[in-house]
Amino acid sequence: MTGKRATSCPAEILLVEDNPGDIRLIQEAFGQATLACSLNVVGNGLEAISFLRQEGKYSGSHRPDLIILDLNLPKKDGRELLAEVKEDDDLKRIPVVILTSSEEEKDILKAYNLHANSYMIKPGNFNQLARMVKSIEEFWFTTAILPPE
Amino acid sequence: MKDVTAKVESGQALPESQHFIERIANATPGFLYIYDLLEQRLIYANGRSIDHLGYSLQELQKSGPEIAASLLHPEDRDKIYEHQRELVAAGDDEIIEVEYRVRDNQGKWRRFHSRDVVFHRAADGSPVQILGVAVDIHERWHSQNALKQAALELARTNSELEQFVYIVSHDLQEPLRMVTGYLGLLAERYKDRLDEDANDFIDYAVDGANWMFRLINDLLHYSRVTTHGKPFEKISAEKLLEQALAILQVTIRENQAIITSDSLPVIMADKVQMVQLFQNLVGNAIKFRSEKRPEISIRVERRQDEWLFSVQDNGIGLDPRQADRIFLIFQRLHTRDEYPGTGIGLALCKKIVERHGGRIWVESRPGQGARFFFTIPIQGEEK
Repeated sequence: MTGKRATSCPAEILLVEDNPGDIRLIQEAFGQATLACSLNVVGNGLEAISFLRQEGKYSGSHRPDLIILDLNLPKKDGRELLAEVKEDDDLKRIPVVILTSSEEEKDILKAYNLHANSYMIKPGNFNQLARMVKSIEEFWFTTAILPPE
Repeated sequence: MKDVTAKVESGQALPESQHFIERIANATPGFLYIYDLLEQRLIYANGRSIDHLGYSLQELQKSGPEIAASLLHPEDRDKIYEHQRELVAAGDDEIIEVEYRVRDNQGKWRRFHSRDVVFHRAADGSPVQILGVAVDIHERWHSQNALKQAALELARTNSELEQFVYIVSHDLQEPLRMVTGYLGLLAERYKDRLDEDANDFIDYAVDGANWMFRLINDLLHYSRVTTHGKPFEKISAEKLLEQALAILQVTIRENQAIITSDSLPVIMADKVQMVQLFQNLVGNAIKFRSEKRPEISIRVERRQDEWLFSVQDNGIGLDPRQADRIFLIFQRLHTRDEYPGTGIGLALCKKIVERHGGRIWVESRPGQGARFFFTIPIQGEEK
Protein backbone atom coordinates (compact mmCIF):
# COMPACT_ATOMS: atom_id res chain seq x y z
CA MET A 1 0.00 0.00 0.00
CA THR A 2 1.50 3.29 -1.07
CA GLY A 3 -1.18 5.53 0.35
CA LYS A 4 -0.89 6.89 3.83
CA ARG A 5 -3.43 6.10 6.48
CA ALA A 6 -2.61 8.37 9.36
CA THR A 7 -3.85 6.13 12.14
CA SER A 8 -0.91 6.96 14.32
CA CYS A 9 -1.24 10.63 15.08
CA PRO A 10 0.19 13.17 15.14
CA ALA A 11 -1.37 13.79 11.79
CA GLU A 12 -0.77 17.45 11.11
CA ILE A 13 -3.67 19.79 10.58
CA LEU A 14 -3.31 23.43 9.62
CA LEU A 15 -6.19 25.59 10.79
CA VAL A 16 -6.45 28.92 8.99
CA GLU A 17 -8.79 31.04 11.11
CA ASP A 18 -8.64 34.59 12.38
CA ASN A 19 -11.31 34.65 15.09
CA PRO A 20 -9.69 33.77 18.46
CA GLY A 21 -13.07 32.59 19.77
CA ASP A 22 -13.45 30.13 16.91
CA ILE A 23 -9.83 28.99 17.19
CA ARG A 24 -10.21 28.09 20.84
CA LEU A 25 -13.56 26.42 20.27
CA ILE A 26 -12.13 24.31 17.44
CA GLN A 27 -9.09 23.47 19.54
CA GLU A 28 -11.37 22.34 22.35
CA ALA A 29 -13.40 20.28 19.95
CA PHE A 30 -10.22 18.64 18.64
CA GLY A 31 -9.16 18.09 22.23
CA GLN A 32 -12.28 15.99 22.74
CA ALA A 33 -11.84 14.06 19.55
CA THR A 34 -10.40 10.58 19.76
CA LEU A 35 -7.37 10.88 17.56
CA ALA A 36 -5.80 13.96 19.17
CA CYS A 37 -4.09 15.27 16.06
CA SER A 38 -1.70 18.14 16.20
CA LEU A 39 -3.34 21.37 15.24
CA ASN A 40 -1.33 24.33 13.96
CA VAL A 41 -3.07 27.67 13.71
CA VAL A 42 -2.40 30.67 11.50
CA GLY A 43 -4.54 33.79 11.38
CA ASN A 44 -4.55 34.77 7.70
CA GLY A 45 -3.82 33.62 4.16
CA LEU A 46 -0.35 35.13 3.93
CA GLU A 47 0.82 33.31 7.02
CA ALA A 48 -0.80 30.14 5.75
CA ILE A 49 1.26 30.31 2.55
CA SER A 50 4.47 30.88 4.57
CA PHE A 51 3.55 27.91 6.73
CA LEU A 52 2.82 25.66 3.77
CA ARG A 53 6.03 26.66 1.97
CA GLN A 54 8.01 26.46 5.21
CA GLU A 55 9.24 30.00 4.82
CA GLY A 56 10.48 32.52 7.41
CA LYS A 57 9.44 31.69 10.95
CA TYR A 58 7.72 28.57 9.66
CA SER A 59 10.91 27.07 8.24
CA GLY A 60 10.70 24.27 10.76
CA SER A 61 7.02 23.45 10.10
CA HIS A 62 5.75 20.18 8.77
CA ARG A 63 3.69 19.92 5.64
CA PRO A 64 0.12 19.43 6.99
CA ASP A 65 -2.01 16.40 6.07
CA LEU A 66 -5.14 18.50 6.03
CA ILE A 67 -6.03 22.17 5.86
CA ILE A 68 -9.11 23.56 7.63
CA LEU A 69 -9.82 26.92 6.11
CA ASP A 70 -12.15 29.78 6.98
CA LEU A 71 -13.27 31.86 4.00
CA ASN A 72 -13.32 35.35 5.45
CA LEU A 73 -9.82 36.22 6.54
CA PRO A 74 -7.79 39.42 6.73
CA LYS A 75 -4.96 40.13 4.23
CA LYS A 76 -5.22 37.17 1.88
CA ASP A 77 -8.71 35.73 2.26
CA GLY A 78 -9.71 32.08 2.21
CA ARG A 79 -10.81 32.02 -1.42
CA GLU A 80 -7.51 33.44 -2.63
CA LEU A 81 -5.55 31.07 -0.45
CA LEU A 82 -7.61 28.12 -1.70
CA ALA A 83 -6.97 29.12 -5.33
CA GLU A 84 -3.25 29.47 -4.65
CA VAL A 85 -2.97 26.11 -2.91
CA LYS A 86 -4.87 24.29 -5.63
CA GLU A 87 -2.76 25.84 -8.40
CA ASP A 88 0.48 24.90 -6.69
CA ASP A 89 1.82 21.54 -7.87
CA ASP A 90 3.40 20.91 -4.49
CA LEU A 91 0.41 21.79 -2.36
CA LYS A 92 -2.66 20.89 -4.40
CA ARG A 93 -2.85 17.31 -3.09
CA ILE A 94 -3.43 18.47 0.48
CA PRO A 95 -7.15 18.12 1.22
CA VAL A 96 -8.77 21.43 2.10
CA VAL A 97 -11.88 21.46 4.28
CA ILE A 98 -13.71 24.78 4.27
CA LEU A 99 -15.13 25.61 7.70
CA THR A 100 -16.99 28.89 7.57
CA SER A 101 -20.10 30.65 8.80
CA SER A 102 -21.20 31.48 5.25
CA GLU A 103 -24.24 29.61 3.97
CA GLU A 104 -24.18 31.60 0.75
CA GLU A 105 -24.72 29.46 -2.31
CA LYS A 106 -22.15 31.51 -4.22
CA ASP A 107 -19.49 30.85 -1.58
CA ILE A 108 -20.20 27.11 -1.63
CA LEU A 109 -20.05 26.99 -5.43
CA LYS A 110 -16.93 29.11 -5.57
CA ALA A 111 -15.15 26.91 -3.01
CA TYR A 112 -15.90 23.72 -4.94
CA ASN A 113 -15.00 25.38 -8.24
CA LEU A 114 -11.65 26.17 -6.68
CA HIS A 115 -11.34 22.42 -5.84
CA ALA A 116 -12.09 22.55 -2.12
CA ASN A 117 -12.39 18.97 -0.87
CA SER A 118 -15.42 19.67 1.30
CA TYR A 119 -17.46 22.53 2.68
CA MET A 120 -18.79 22.75 6.21
CA ILE A 121 -20.79 25.42 7.97
CA LYS A 122 -19.76 26.34 11.51
CA PRO A 123 -22.54 25.03 13.73
CA GLY A 124 -24.30 27.08 16.38
CA ASN A 125 -23.52 24.90 19.34
CA PHE A 126 -20.51 23.17 20.77
CA ASN A 127 -21.82 19.61 20.61
CA GLN A 128 -22.43 19.91 16.90
CA LEU A 129 -18.96 21.36 16.41
CA ALA A 130 -17.44 18.50 18.40
CA ARG A 131 -19.31 15.99 16.23
CA MET A 132 -18.20 17.79 13.09
CA VAL A 133 -14.56 17.78 14.13
CA LYS A 134 -14.79 14.12 15.03
CA SER A 135 -16.22 13.29 11.63
CA ILE A 136 -13.45 15.28 9.93
CA GLU A 137 -10.88 13.26 11.81
CA GLU A 138 -12.60 9.96 11.23
CA PHE A 139 -13.08 10.51 7.56
CA TRP A 140 -9.73 12.00 6.60
CA PHE A 141 -7.53 10.04 8.97
CA THR A 142 -9.14 6.63 9.23
CA THR A 143 -11.53 6.15 6.33
CA ALA A 144 -9.76 7.97 3.52
CA ILE A 145 -6.34 7.17 2.14
CA LEU A 146 -4.23 10.30 1.94
CA PRO A 147 -1.78 10.91 -0.89
CA PRO A 148 1.70 9.47 -0.27
CA GLU A 149 4.40 11.97 0.73
CA MET B 1 -74.45 67.65 -36.24
CA LYS B 2 -72.33 67.86 -39.33
CA ASP B 3 -75.04 69.94 -40.93
CA VAL B 4 -75.06 72.35 -38.07
CA THR B 5 -71.32 72.87 -38.04
CA ALA B 6 -71.36 73.41 -41.78
CA LYS B 7 -73.94 76.10 -41.27
CA VAL B 8 -71.97 77.68 -38.47
CA GLU B 9 -69.02 77.79 -40.82
CA SER B 10 -71.00 79.54 -43.50
CA GLY B 11 -72.71 81.81 -41.00
CA GLN B 12 -76.21 80.51 -41.80
CA ALA B 13 -77.02 78.64 -38.62
CA LEU B 14 -80.54 78.70 -37.28
CA PRO B 15 -80.82 80.94 -34.20
CA GLU B 16 -81.54 77.94 -31.97
CA SER B 17 -78.58 76.02 -33.30
CA GLN B 18 -76.35 79.02 -32.82
CA HIS B 19 -77.61 79.32 -29.28
CA PHE B 20 -77.21 75.60 -28.68
CA ILE B 21 -73.59 75.62 -29.81
CA GLU B 22 -72.70 78.69 -27.82
CA ARG B 23 -74.16 77.18 -24.69
CA ILE B 24 -72.18 73.98 -25.20
CA ALA B 25 -68.98 75.86 -25.92
CA ASN B 26 -69.32 77.90 -22.73
CA ALA B 27 -70.52 75.10 -20.48
CA THR B 28 -67.91 72.53 -21.43
CA PRO B 29 -65.29 71.95 -18.76
CA GLY B 30 -62.59 71.82 -21.43
CA PHE B 31 -61.16 74.29 -23.88
CA LEU B 32 -62.74 74.33 -27.27
CA TYR B 33 -60.78 75.70 -30.19
CA ILE B 34 -60.50 75.79 -33.93
CA TYR B 35 -57.04 75.96 -35.38
CA ASP B 36 -56.17 76.83 -38.95
CA LEU B 37 -53.45 74.62 -40.33
CA LEU B 38 -52.67 76.83 -43.36
CA GLU B 39 -52.43 80.08 -41.41
CA GLN B 40 -51.01 78.23 -38.36
CA ARG B 41 -53.13 80.26 -35.99
CA LEU B 42 -56.04 79.92 -33.63
CA ILE B 43 -59.26 81.21 -35.14
CA TYR B 44 -61.63 80.29 -32.35
CA ALA B 45 -61.33 79.63 -28.63
CA ASN B 46 -64.14 79.37 -26.07
CA GLY B 47 -64.25 81.75 -23.12
CA ARG B 48 -62.83 79.20 -20.71
CA SER B 49 -59.54 78.80 -22.59
CA ILE B 50 -59.09 82.54 -22.69
CA ASP B 51 -59.67 82.95 -18.95
CA HIS B 52 -57.53 79.99 -18.09
CA LEU B 53 -54.36 81.00 -19.88
CA GLY B 54 -54.86 84.72 -19.25
CA TYR B 55 -54.47 85.82 -22.86
CA SER B 56 -57.12 87.75 -24.77
CA LEU B 57 -58.69 86.16 -27.85
CA GLN B 58 -57.00 88.85 -29.91
CA GLU B 59 -53.65 87.97 -28.45
CA LEU B 60 -54.20 84.31 -29.21
CA GLN B 61 -55.55 84.95 -32.66
CA LYS B 62 -52.87 87.31 -33.85
CA SER B 63 -50.18 84.81 -33.04
CA GLY B 64 -48.53 83.71 -36.24
CA PRO B 65 -46.56 80.47 -36.43
CA GLU B 66 -43.64 81.94 -34.42
CA ILE B 67 -45.79 83.17 -31.57
CA ALA B 68 -47.81 79.96 -31.53
CA ALA B 69 -44.55 78.09 -31.31
CA SER B 70 -43.34 80.35 -28.53
CA LEU B 71 -46.38 79.40 -26.42
CA LEU B 72 -45.45 75.75 -26.70
CA HIS B 73 -42.84 74.14 -24.51
CA PRO B 74 -39.67 73.69 -26.64
CA GLU B 75 -39.53 69.99 -25.83
CA ASP B 76 -43.10 69.49 -27.07
CA ARG B 77 -42.83 71.31 -30.42
CA ASP B 78 -41.74 68.30 -32.45
CA LYS B 79 -44.55 66.31 -30.88
CA ILE B 80 -47.09 68.93 -31.97
CA TYR B 81 -45.75 68.99 -35.55
CA GLU B 82 -46.00 65.22 -35.63
CA HIS B 83 -49.52 65.48 -34.22
CA GLN B 84 -50.51 67.89 -37.01
CA ARG B 85 -49.06 65.55 -39.63
CA GLU B 86 -51.18 62.75 -38.16
CA LEU B 87 -54.26 64.97 -38.32
CA VAL B 88 -53.61 65.79 -41.95
CA ALA B 89 -53.66 62.08 -42.71
CA ALA B 90 -56.65 61.36 -40.46
CA GLY B 91 -60.12 60.35 -41.55
CA ASP B 92 -63.21 62.37 -40.59
CA ASP B 93 -64.15 60.26 -37.59
CA GLU B 94 -60.67 59.85 -36.22
CA ILE B 95 -59.81 61.51 -32.92
CA ILE B 96 -56.10 62.22 -32.49
CA GLU B 97 -54.80 62.81 -29.01
CA VAL B 98 -51.72 64.62 -27.77
CA GLU B 99 -50.19 65.91 -24.54
CA TYR B 100 -48.17 69.13 -24.41
CA ARG B 101 -47.28 72.14 -22.28
CA VAL B 102 -48.38 75.73 -22.93
CA ARG B 103 -47.07 78.88 -21.28
CA ASP B 104 -49.76 80.96 -19.56
CA ASN B 105 -49.48 84.75 -19.36
CA GLN B 106 -47.77 84.40 -15.97
CA GLY B 107 -44.97 82.46 -17.64
CA LYS B 108 -46.01 79.18 -16.01
CA TRP B 109 -46.16 75.93 -17.97
CA ARG B 110 -49.56 74.24 -17.99
CA ARG B 111 -49.91 70.66 -19.16
CA PHE B 112 -52.78 69.92 -21.58
CA HIS B 113 -54.34 66.85 -23.08
CA SER B 114 -56.02 67.51 -26.45
CA ARG B 115 -58.44 65.48 -28.56
CA ASP B 116 -58.50 66.86 -32.10
CA VAL B 117 -60.55 66.13 -35.22
CA VAL B 118 -60.49 67.50 -38.74
CA PHE B 119 -63.05 70.30 -38.85
CA HIS B 120 -62.90 71.71 -42.33
CA ARG B 121 -61.39 70.45 -45.54
CA ALA B 122 -60.41 72.27 -48.74
CA ALA B 123 -62.07 71.35 -52.05
CA ASP B 124 -59.34 68.74 -52.70
CA GLY B 125 -60.16 67.09 -49.35
CA SER B 126 -57.02 68.18 -47.53
CA PRO B 127 -57.74 69.36 -43.97
CA VAL B 128 -57.44 73.08 -43.39
CA GLN B 129 -58.97 73.47 -39.95
CA ILE B 130 -59.02 71.31 -36.88
CA LEU B 131 -61.42 71.37 -33.96
CA GLY B 132 -60.19 70.29 -30.60
CA VAL B 133 -61.07 69.91 -26.94
CA ALA B 134 -58.26 70.30 -24.45
CA VAL B 135 -58.22 69.61 -20.73
CA ASP B 136 -55.71 71.05 -18.29
CA ILE B 137 -54.17 67.96 -16.71
CA HIS B 138 -51.55 69.87 -14.78
CA GLU B 139 -52.78 68.85 -11.30
CA ARG B 140 -53.58 65.30 -12.31
CA TRP B 141 -50.20 64.91 -13.95
CA HIS B 142 -48.41 66.23 -10.89
CA SER B 143 -50.30 64.07 -8.45
CA GLN B 144 -49.71 61.03 -10.67
CA ASN B 145 -46.07 61.89 -10.79
CA ALA B 146 -45.93 62.34 -7.05
CA LEU B 147 -47.60 58.97 -6.66
CA LYS B 148 -45.07 57.36 -8.98
CA GLN B 149 -42.23 58.95 -7.04
CA ALA B 150 -43.71 57.80 -3.76
CA ALA B 151 -44.04 54.25 -5.08
CA LEU B 152 -40.41 54.29 -6.23
CA GLU B 153 -39.30 55.65 -2.89
CA LEU B 154 -41.30 52.98 -1.09
CA ALA B 155 -39.76 50.23 -3.20
CA ARG B 156 -36.33 51.66 -2.49
CA THR B 157 -36.76 51.91 1.28
CA ASN B 158 -38.32 48.46 1.25
CA SER B 159 -35.36 46.92 -0.46
CA GLU B 160 -33.02 48.89 1.81
CA LEU B 161 -34.88 47.48 4.79
CA GLU B 162 -34.57 43.98 3.42
CA GLN B 163 -30.86 44.49 2.91
CA PHE B 164 -30.67 45.85 6.43
CA VAL B 165 -32.43 42.83 7.91
CA TYR B 166 -30.18 40.56 5.93
CA ILE B 167 -26.97 42.27 7.04
CA VAL B 168 -28.04 42.60 10.66
CA SER B 169 -29.12 39.00 10.97
CA HIS B 170 -26.00 37.83 9.20
CA ASP B 171 -23.67 39.88 11.37
CA LEU B 172 -25.49 38.99 14.59
CA GLN B 173 -24.90 35.33 13.87
CA GLU B 174 -21.14 35.56 14.37
CA PRO B 175 -21.05 36.91 17.94
CA LEU B 176 -24.05 34.82 18.89
CA ARG B 177 -22.22 31.72 17.69
CA MET B 178 -19.53 32.57 20.23
CA VAL B 179 -22.16 32.79 22.98
CA THR B 180 -23.86 29.51 22.07
CA GLY B 181 -20.55 27.81 21.41
CA TYR B 182 -18.93 28.70 24.71
CA LEU B 183 -22.09 28.23 26.73
CA GLY B 184 -22.25 24.75 25.28
CA LEU B 185 -18.65 24.13 26.20
CA LEU B 186 -19.24 25.52 29.68
CA ALA B 187 -22.28 23.29 30.15
CA GLU B 188 -20.48 20.24 28.91
CA ARG B 189 -17.33 20.66 30.92
CA TYR B 190 -18.51 22.23 34.18
CA LYS B 191 -22.07 21.19 34.57
CA ASP B 192 -21.56 18.58 37.22
CA ARG B 193 -18.86 20.47 39.04
CA LEU B 194 -21.16 23.31 40.05
CA ASP B 195 -24.25 23.28 42.25
CA GLU B 196 -27.80 22.75 41.07
CA ASP B 197 -28.57 26.45 40.75
CA ALA B 198 -25.60 26.94 38.45
CA ASN B 199 -26.79 24.03 36.32
CA ASP B 200 -30.23 25.61 36.04
CA PHE B 201 -28.75 28.96 35.10
CA ILE B 202 -26.58 27.40 32.43
CA ASP B 203 -29.56 25.46 31.06
CA TYR B 204 -31.64 28.61 30.76
CA ALA B 205 -28.80 30.52 29.17
CA VAL B 206 -28.12 27.71 26.68
CA ASP B 207 -31.79 27.41 25.89
CA GLY B 208 -32.17 31.16 25.32
CA ALA B 209 -29.05 31.45 23.24
CA ASN B 210 -30.02 28.48 21.06
CA TRP B 211 -33.49 29.90 20.56
CA MET B 212 -32.03 33.26 19.57
CA PHE B 213 -29.71 31.52 17.16
CA ARG B 214 -32.70 29.87 15.50
CA LEU B 215 -34.63 33.14 15.33
CA ILE B 216 -31.75 34.97 13.71
CA ASN B 217 -31.14 32.11 11.35
CA ASP B 218 -34.82 32.12 10.36
CA LEU B 219 -34.78 35.88 9.91
CA LEU B 220 -31.81 35.46 7.60
CA HIS B 221 -33.70 32.91 5.50
CA TYR B 222 -36.74 35.16 5.47
CA SER B 223 -34.79 38.14 4.16
CA ARG B 224 -33.07 35.93 1.57
CA VAL B 225 -36.38 35.34 -0.23
CA THR B 226 -36.12 38.76 -1.80
CA THR B 227 -32.43 39.58 -1.50
CA HIS B 228 -31.21 36.23 -2.86
CA GLY B 229 -34.14 35.08 -5.01
CA LYS B 230 -33.39 33.38 -8.34
CA PRO B 231 -34.90 34.48 -11.67
CA PHE B 232 -38.15 32.69 -12.54
CA GLU B 233 -38.02 29.78 -14.95
CA LYS B 234 -40.53 27.49 -16.59
CA ILE B 235 -40.87 24.54 -14.30
CA SER B 236 -43.27 21.70 -13.63
CA ALA B 237 -45.03 22.24 -10.30
CA GLU B 238 -45.48 18.48 -10.21
CA LYS B 239 -41.70 18.00 -10.05
CA LEU B 240 -41.41 20.66 -7.36
CA LEU B 241 -44.02 18.94 -5.23
CA GLU B 242 -42.21 15.62 -5.70
CA GLN B 243 -38.99 17.22 -4.47
CA ALA B 244 -40.74 18.70 -1.46
CA LEU B 245 -42.30 15.32 -0.62
CA ALA B 246 -38.91 13.65 -0.95
CA ILE B 247 -37.48 16.04 1.64
CA LEU B 248 -40.44 15.26 3.92
CA GLN B 249 -40.38 11.50 3.37
CA VAL B 250 -39.34 10.59 6.93
CA THR B 251 -42.09 12.77 8.44
CA ILE B 252 -44.62 11.41 5.96
CA ARG B 253 -43.69 7.84 6.80
CA GLU B 254 -43.63 8.38 10.56
CA ASN B 255 -47.10 9.91 10.48
CA GLN B 256 -48.39 7.48 7.85
CA ALA B 257 -49.72 10.49 5.99
CA ILE B 258 -51.73 9.90 2.83
CA ILE B 259 -50.96 12.51 0.21
CA THR B 260 -52.89 12.91 -3.01
CA SER B 261 -52.43 15.48 -5.71
CA ASP B 262 -54.01 16.73 -8.91
CA SER B 263 -51.65 16.70 -11.83
CA LEU B 264 -49.92 20.04 -11.51
CA PRO B 265 -49.16 22.53 -14.30
CA VAL B 266 -45.96 24.07 -15.60
CA ILE B 267 -45.45 27.46 -13.97
CA MET B 268 -42.98 30.35 -14.04
CA ALA B 269 -41.25 30.31 -10.68
CA ASP B 270 -38.11 30.23 -8.60
CA LYS B 271 -37.83 26.48 -8.18
CA VAL B 272 -35.91 26.49 -4.88
CA GLN B 273 -38.53 28.74 -3.33
CA MET B 274 -41.47 26.77 -4.74
CA VAL B 275 -40.07 23.55 -3.26
CA GLN B 276 -39.77 25.38 0.04
CA LEU B 277 -43.37 26.56 -0.27
CA PHE B 278 -44.77 23.05 -0.86
CA GLN B 279 -42.48 21.67 1.81
CA ASN B 280 -43.71 24.17 4.40
CA LEU B 281 -47.39 23.76 3.55
CA VAL B 282 -47.35 19.97 3.46
CA GLY B 283 -45.01 19.89 6.47
CA ASN B 284 -47.42 22.08 8.44
CA ALA B 285 -50.37 19.93 7.40
CA ILE B 286 -48.63 16.95 9.00
CA LYS B 287 -47.27 18.85 11.99
CA PHE B 288 -50.72 20.12 12.95
CA ARG B 289 -52.39 16.74 12.49
CA SER B 290 -55.25 15.51 14.64
CA GLU B 291 -55.66 12.01 16.02
CA LYS B 292 -56.89 10.95 12.62
CA ARG B 293 -54.44 9.62 10.10
CA PRO B 294 -53.24 12.70 8.15
CA GLU B 295 -54.84 13.02 4.74
CA ILE B 296 -53.50 15.82 2.60
CA SER B 297 -54.63 16.72 -0.85
CA ILE B 298 -53.03 19.17 -3.23
CA ARG B 299 -55.37 20.64 -5.79
CA VAL B 300 -55.03 23.11 -8.60
CA GLU B 301 -57.57 25.03 -10.59
CA ARG B 302 -57.02 27.34 -13.52
CA ARG B 303 -58.42 30.82 -13.10
CA GLN B 304 -58.30 33.50 -15.78
CA ASP B 305 -54.82 34.91 -15.10
CA GLU B 306 -53.61 32.63 -12.38
CA TRP B 307 -53.32 29.12 -11.03
CA LEU B 308 -55.12 28.57 -7.77
CA PHE B 309 -53.31 25.93 -5.73
CA SER B 310 -54.55 24.54 -2.45
CA VAL B 311 -53.25 22.22 0.22
CA GLN B 312 -56.01 20.68 2.33
CA ASP B 313 -55.58 18.65 5.48
CA ASN B 314 -57.73 16.92 8.11
CA GLY B 315 -55.68 18.27 11.04
CA ILE B 316 -56.54 20.33 14.10
CA GLY B 317 -57.48 23.41 12.08
CA LEU B 318 -57.46 26.89 13.49
CA ASP B 319 -59.70 29.72 14.58
CA PRO B 320 -60.59 31.77 11.47
CA ARG B 321 -59.97 34.92 13.53
CA GLN B 322 -56.30 33.92 13.61
CA ALA B 323 -56.20 33.35 9.87
CA ASP B 324 -54.21 36.53 9.12
CA ARG B 325 -51.94 36.36 12.12
CA ILE B 326 -50.40 33.01 11.23
CA PHE B 327 -48.74 34.56 8.17
CA LEU B 328 -46.83 37.10 10.27
CA ILE B 329 -43.22 36.41 11.13
CA PHE B 330 -42.61 34.64 14.47
CA GLN B 331 -46.33 34.53 15.29
CA ARG B 332 -47.33 31.22 16.81
CA LEU B 333 -50.71 29.94 17.95
CA HIS B 334 -49.26 27.29 20.25
CA THR B 335 -46.57 27.13 22.89
CA ARG B 336 -43.12 25.88 22.05
CA ASP B 337 -43.80 22.77 24.15
CA GLU B 338 -46.91 21.88 22.17
CA TYR B 339 -45.40 22.49 18.75
CA PRO B 340 -41.74 23.30 18.20
CA GLY B 341 -40.61 25.95 15.74
CA THR B 342 -40.05 29.69 15.65
CA GLY B 343 -43.13 30.54 13.60
CA ILE B 344 -41.26 31.40 10.44
CA GLY B 345 -42.86 28.82 8.10
CA LEU B 346 -46.01 30.54 6.93
CA ALA B 347 -44.37 34.00 6.90
CA LEU B 348 -41.81 32.51 4.55
CA CYS B 349 -44.62 31.00 2.42
CA LYS B 350 -46.30 34.40 2.21
CA LYS B 351 -43.09 36.13 1.19
CA ILE B 352 -42.39 33.50 -1.46
CA VAL B 353 -45.91 33.66 -2.90
CA GLU B 354 -45.84 37.47 -2.92
CA ARG B 355 -42.48 37.54 -4.65
CA HIS B 356 -44.16 35.48 -7.38
CA GLY B 357 -47.00 38.02 -7.63
CA GLY B 358 -49.56 35.78 -5.93
CA ARG B 359 -51.65 35.72 -2.74
CA ILE B 360 -51.92 33.22 0.08
CA TRP B 361 -54.71 32.63 2.59
CA VAL B 362 -56.29 29.93 4.69
CA GLU B 363 -59.80 28.64 5.23
CA SER B 364 -60.24 26.67 8.40
CA ARG B 365 -62.22 25.93 11.53
CA PRO B 366 -60.96 24.42 14.76
CA GLY B 367 -61.09 20.64 14.49
CA GLN B 368 -62.15 20.78 10.85
CA GLY B 369 -58.77 20.73 9.14
CA ALA B 370 -57.35 23.60 7.15
CA ARG B 371 -57.12 24.46 3.49
CA PHE B 372 -54.32 26.77 2.43
CA PHE B 373 -54.75 28.52 -0.90
CA PHE B 374 -52.16 30.31 -2.96
CA THR B 375 -52.12 31.76 -6.44
CA ILE B 376 -49.35 31.94 -9.01
CA PRO B 377 -49.89 34.28 -11.98
CA ILE B 378 -49.99 32.70 -15.41
CA GLN B 379 -47.28 34.31 -17.54
CA GLY B 380 -47.88 35.70 -21.03
CA GLU B 381 -46.96 32.72 -23.19
CA GLU B 382 -48.79 30.18 -21.03
CA LYS B 383 -52.17 31.92 -21.43
